[in-house]
Amino acid sequence: MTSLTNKAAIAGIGSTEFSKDSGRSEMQLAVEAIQAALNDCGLSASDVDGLCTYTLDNNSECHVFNAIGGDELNFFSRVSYGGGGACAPLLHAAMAVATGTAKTVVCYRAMNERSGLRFGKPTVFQLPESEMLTFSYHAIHGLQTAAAMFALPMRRYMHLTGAQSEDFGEVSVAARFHASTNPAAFFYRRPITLDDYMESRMIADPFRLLDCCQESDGAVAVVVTSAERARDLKQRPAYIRSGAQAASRGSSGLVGFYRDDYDPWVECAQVARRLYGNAGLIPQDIQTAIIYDHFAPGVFPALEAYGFCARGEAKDFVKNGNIVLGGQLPINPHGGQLGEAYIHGMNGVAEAVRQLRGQAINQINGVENILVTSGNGLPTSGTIIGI
Amino acid sequence: MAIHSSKDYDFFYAGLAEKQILVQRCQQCEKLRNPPSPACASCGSLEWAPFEIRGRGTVNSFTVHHYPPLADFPVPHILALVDMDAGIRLLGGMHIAPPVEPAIGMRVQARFDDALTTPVYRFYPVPTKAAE
Repeated sequence: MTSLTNKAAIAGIGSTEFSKDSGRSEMQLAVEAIQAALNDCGLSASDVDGLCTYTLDNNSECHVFNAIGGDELNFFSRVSYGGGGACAPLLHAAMAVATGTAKTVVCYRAMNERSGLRFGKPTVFQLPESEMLTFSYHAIHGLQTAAAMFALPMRRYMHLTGAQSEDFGEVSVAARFHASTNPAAFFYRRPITLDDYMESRMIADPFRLLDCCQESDGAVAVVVTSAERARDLKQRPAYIRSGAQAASRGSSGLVGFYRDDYDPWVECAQVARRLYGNAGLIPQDIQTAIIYDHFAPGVFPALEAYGFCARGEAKDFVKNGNIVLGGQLPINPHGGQLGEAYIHGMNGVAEAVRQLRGQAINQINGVENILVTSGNGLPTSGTIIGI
Repeated sequence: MAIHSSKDYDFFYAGLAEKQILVQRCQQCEKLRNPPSPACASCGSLEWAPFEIRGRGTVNSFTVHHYPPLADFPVPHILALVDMDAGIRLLGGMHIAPPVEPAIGMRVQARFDDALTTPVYRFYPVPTKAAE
């Protein structure tokens, strides 16, 4: 175990509703989620001295801090690579708390991703200069959407492993099954069948409409503080066992396909080695996992990289109810980003905390350690949290 | 869609305007590379020269973009990653006449197509073994 293990904990979680049109500013969504997270654990804005978010978040640190009525900000950081960075703010917050750089760090993600700038469109994000260059380099051929970019490694994955569309459908169906009992989810009371999946239209072969996450408006915030302090607050602490970020030779934001092995497994395996090693845990110690599901097929290489099955064998692992409630490894019991909402992975972090506290809608019994992963096919991150 | 270039990338777009597919070749260790970069990741040399890629290659992976519509290409639009015989992987659009379907392992040839509004190469299947 490293010096970081169990030093910091998630003390509070908060979110807005998830919708297709929030009707208010992204800044207001951020403030509402942060206020809810602070109320959840019984802290106030004056306790917050750190903020972490994504480089893609439109709400700058000082504006958020002033809006919530904070006093002194001692630490703030941002993580790049979109959903690949989903778990990294937690790592940054835990490091800040463990080193005494900050006492209480709020991680937030707030976006009108459906009613505002839609990520599914062929669009040029405001990205750092070098990312804009690689985007253009591929866009001239018509490679302009996240779906098409991620489809290239997943089509290769199918070739190498023999996985078929029907196999990917298991993930899509499981997510909507879990979402069907979650009132916060878009797919509440709307389970789907494998036939529905196979009949849904192609977006970017092999991805069908029902492979794609839900474009969403909403915000999620979590409060990270020291383990010691968290024990005196309102909720049971969710301890951060370990966190890791990874990029490797040839990694790039969804276009790292110029190396020999560009399976979305690669960066996940690098995170997995360090997550388990640093926490002193093995995959068998994990009762449930939040596996990042921007596109359902991406769950396959992640399941393999995080050690739940051998490489290339996810197509068998996902069958026979293995990944649904009551199975060997229920994943995304809230419905994931396919079924609940797409808040860039942060709604999965909130679900992980609820599962540890025993507060989830689809509660799994006896959860002691939960793995949370981030977007794959790009530089990624992950965390293990436990009770 | 407006092209975003820099001093590292300008040679590539200049090549396209001349109907050439250019990548960089390290002047020190002769390794080919793309996307463009100021340095060779193998030997660290900053010295490079443009190198023209011609001929054939093998499809390493592909996707067919169906939705949403693209400004410069009719959909469905096939995109392929191709391992060129010259020893480097390229991304490009792909033109196939039905009923042929794109497939990994398919032999293709890169050509510039006057029908496209943007000056860019596309991959076309090499029809039969005899054509090799």
